[in-house]
Amino acid sequence: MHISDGVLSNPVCIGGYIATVGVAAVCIKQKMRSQDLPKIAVITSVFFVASLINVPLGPTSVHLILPALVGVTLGAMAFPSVMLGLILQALLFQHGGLTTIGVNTLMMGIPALTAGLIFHQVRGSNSRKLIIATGAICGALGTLLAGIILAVLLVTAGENFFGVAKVALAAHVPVIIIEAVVTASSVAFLLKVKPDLIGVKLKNDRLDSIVSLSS
Amino acid sequence: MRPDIDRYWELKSPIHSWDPRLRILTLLILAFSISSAQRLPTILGCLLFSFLLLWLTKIPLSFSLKRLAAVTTFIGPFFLIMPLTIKAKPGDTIYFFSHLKFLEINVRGLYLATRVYCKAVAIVLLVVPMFGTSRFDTSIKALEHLKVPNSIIQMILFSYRYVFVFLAELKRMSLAMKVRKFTPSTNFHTLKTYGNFIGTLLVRSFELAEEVYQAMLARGYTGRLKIQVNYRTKPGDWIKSALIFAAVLGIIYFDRFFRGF
Repeated sequence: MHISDGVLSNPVCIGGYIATVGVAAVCIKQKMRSQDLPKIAVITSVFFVASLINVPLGPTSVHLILPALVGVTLGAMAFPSVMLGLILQALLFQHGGLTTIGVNTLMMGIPALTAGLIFHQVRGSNSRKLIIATGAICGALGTLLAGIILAVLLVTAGENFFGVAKVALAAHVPVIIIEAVVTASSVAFLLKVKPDLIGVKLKNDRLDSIVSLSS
Repeated sequence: MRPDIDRYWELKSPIHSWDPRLRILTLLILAFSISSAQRLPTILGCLLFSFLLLWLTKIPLSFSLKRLAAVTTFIGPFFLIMPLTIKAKPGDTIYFFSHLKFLEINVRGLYLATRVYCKAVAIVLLVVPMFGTSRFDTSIKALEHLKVPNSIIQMILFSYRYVFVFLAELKRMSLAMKVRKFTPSTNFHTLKTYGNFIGTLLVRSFELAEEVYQAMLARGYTGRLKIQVNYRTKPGDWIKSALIFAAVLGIIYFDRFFRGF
């Protein structure tokens, strides 16, 4: 869910732009090397495409937002990645809006960074279950945070939007479950197939035993 | 919807011939001035002005109207929620049903939702004249002259290119899933399948990113992107910008100070 143009007041939109540029600049200065550039760009486009997937929910459907998975795969670079993705969505699909690229980046980028930080705590762990469970928690928390930030932003638009803010927050509840399950199963998949993509180094007992048998 | 915002970049129109740097900056300022408008008459005027700019681009109207889908799904529910939830003020027209005391329909809510929707549409329609009237890479490269860092420009252009690659990949993979009789519904299995689906896309993209980076290094990539675009500002471009700025001032004046009728 992205805020479109025309809802928020100009000071909030411009403030969003300034905050986004500030946070993105810090993330890029701190962590980015030039060889990361194509990587971030390519992964950004995967998330762009993944957000077009519609998950049926009863009579309607919701699209995935996946801020947590961006955080889990990209760490601090998740914020610039979210910003890029939202710029492209605003320009190519008119999802979100021109004047709201800043606030939308904050809405998705802060949950992404939070999820990245939480996931970082279990990187060294050797337990699959713990890592997958953390993935689920990140997915749920990321969506919850995004919903709360959305509601807070809508509240800044004036008391006429209080009702809309409440409904928007309530609409996030089923999405929290969906995002938690999808994030957890993506993490589980990556753990099996390419653990270094999420920065995990598992000691694979089964593989070790096969190797020792064959030698 | 296909992500080709620049499908009609080869048309000839006053907007197409406008220097992309001036065009993007000027229209962005126009977007913010529309966003600042408070009164419905001003907003309707802005909406007309956006349609006028669209008409000048000669891009088919259906192409632009299809782009309103996202705005409509976001703001559409406002028409339902706002009349039911806003606080009644003196002078509001309120409909209610005698046996359902809690269900009060405030007409001012509809008015407010209309205001928000028209404003959003007026701004969203501006994206087409802004980015639909020259090749997307030319438009993005123009942002570098507007002080956007080169690394951001590079990443936007890379992602743009790979969006098309992964859209094709997404289509191919969903076809493969359909062949295997996958029907999405509201259950755990669907979500798990989508999780694996995204995981697969990520793994493929990661490997692709590595290869692309190696190939770029082999071709002499040094961390900067060089696209040769010669931007020329003609006197006519300044006139076009001046006209839009006049409209911006008009919007602000009409919205804040004009109390004629």
